Amino acid sequence: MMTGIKCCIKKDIKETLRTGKVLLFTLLALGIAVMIMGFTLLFTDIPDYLAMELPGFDIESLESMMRTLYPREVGGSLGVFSYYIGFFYSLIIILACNNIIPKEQKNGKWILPREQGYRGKDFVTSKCIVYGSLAGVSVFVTYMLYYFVACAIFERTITFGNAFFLAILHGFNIFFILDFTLLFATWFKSGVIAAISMIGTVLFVPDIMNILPIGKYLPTYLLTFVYDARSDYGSVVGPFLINLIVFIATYVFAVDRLDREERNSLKRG
Amino acid sequence: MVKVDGIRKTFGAHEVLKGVSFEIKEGTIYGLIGKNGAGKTTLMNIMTGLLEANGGTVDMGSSAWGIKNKSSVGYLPDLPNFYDYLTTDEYLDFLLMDSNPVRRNDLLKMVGLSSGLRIRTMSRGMKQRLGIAAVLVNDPDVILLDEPTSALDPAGRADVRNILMKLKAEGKTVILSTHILADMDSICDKAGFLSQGVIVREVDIARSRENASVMIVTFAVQPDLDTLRKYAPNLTVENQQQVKITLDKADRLHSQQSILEGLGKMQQEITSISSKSFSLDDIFQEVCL
Repeated sequence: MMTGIKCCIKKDIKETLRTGKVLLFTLLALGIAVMIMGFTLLFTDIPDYLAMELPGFDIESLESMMRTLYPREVGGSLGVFSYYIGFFYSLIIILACNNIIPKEQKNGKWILPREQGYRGKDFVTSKCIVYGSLAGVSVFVTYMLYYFVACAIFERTITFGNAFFLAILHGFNIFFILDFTLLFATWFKSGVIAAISMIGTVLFVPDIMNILPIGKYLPTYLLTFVYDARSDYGSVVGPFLINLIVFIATYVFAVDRLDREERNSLKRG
Repeated sequence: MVKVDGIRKTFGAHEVLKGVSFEIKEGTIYGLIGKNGAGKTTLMNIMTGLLEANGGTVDMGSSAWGIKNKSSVGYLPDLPNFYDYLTTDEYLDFLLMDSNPVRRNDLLKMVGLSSGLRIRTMSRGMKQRLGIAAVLVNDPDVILLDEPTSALDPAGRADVRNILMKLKAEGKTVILSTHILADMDSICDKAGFLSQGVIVREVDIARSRENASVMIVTFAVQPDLDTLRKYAPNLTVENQQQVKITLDKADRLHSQQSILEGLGKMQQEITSISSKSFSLDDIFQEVCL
């Protein structure tokens, strides 16, 4: 079984490299980083420009609003960056990958490998490892790059250790978001259902959950933890474990569905 | 011996297969013939375990179909789909789980493909050959090919036919479906015609080819059939001026000579005489349409 997963991983690494997924994931994360850095530098200078052009304009409130939206300090700026990653990056990778597994299955790409002993579990596990890692690592690397650049430009309000922890956590968040998408797509045999449920969860649930007292125990808390660039690490243990349990359960359900299909197809009437 | 017994399959209210039964000898090529929608692919999917039958059994060799003898059967679907970003050798290595580079090279050689060829850039014929190589990875005893030549040009079809003949020479049992009857005619030992959910006729192609041939005689005017029957008892009237005479299976040459002699004695103007040998197409027209 391990050989099957290993060979699938090797194949999927080639897939991400040759179908442009590595490029997409990396450039997307870097693009968001450049965009946020650009917004912060550009928009926070707008009030000064307006003060010159429009005498009597309420510059102070605009300045304060801009500095709230795009803070010129490392922690706050990282928070904005991670929010955009959580929002746009997640959205695009969900839409780029939601149909990978159902499409392969429907197109009959598994028929010949299955004849040679591969199992559905091998394909799904490998996709989760390769695609999840690619997304997670590109977010981790971009987060750290952003941190170093921000430190050089803005006031440093966050330690390296804290940034490193937040980068790892955000990498895991994106890893889980993508893997949940892949597993839901396998479980429900539909990329559309997987995309809708994950986009809903990632984009809207964190804000709703923040209002509720149980919100800090749910996996979506991990996203808001990174958005707020917090450092009370103990508070992420509970939601992280719950996230892990939900992930394992989803994996088991998805793989069980494939196993049942395989068993049924081998039963003779 | 492959034995398919009473296979039934229903999709909703539509019964596609109503008890399909046939047997195939080891080391032979069996052709499954039927028009589009006759249930050939459904039957193949059932035989390979991709689809569950509503009834009946499939015996693919030593024991009834099951996970144990899975590798003894290879199945190539009509439109095989590959990971097209891989190369030919990478794809076969993937199927072999990186375990046997020698086998990979042998398979590429057998189907006439070079290594390092990106699948995305390959023609349909080349992909079909790669599909056959992929099916042979585990050296199965029984190989099922669904429409292996349907999307190919004449050169591609000839390539596939040659590969199938090689497989037969190696003692493999091959079951193939196609609507290109000329392919069946030239390579199959036996053919089964699938129509209305059952095998309506089975033909031993080699024997039929030896035994059956007909002469088509066209006269300038309507011939005197009573006189003609004296020389050619097995005749069928095609139209007013044309008759079809079936030659004696036991002694085709002599039968042909005596008919020609008789036609000469009749002293009626003949516009054409043509001979027609065994044709799957005729049987297809008769039993499937």
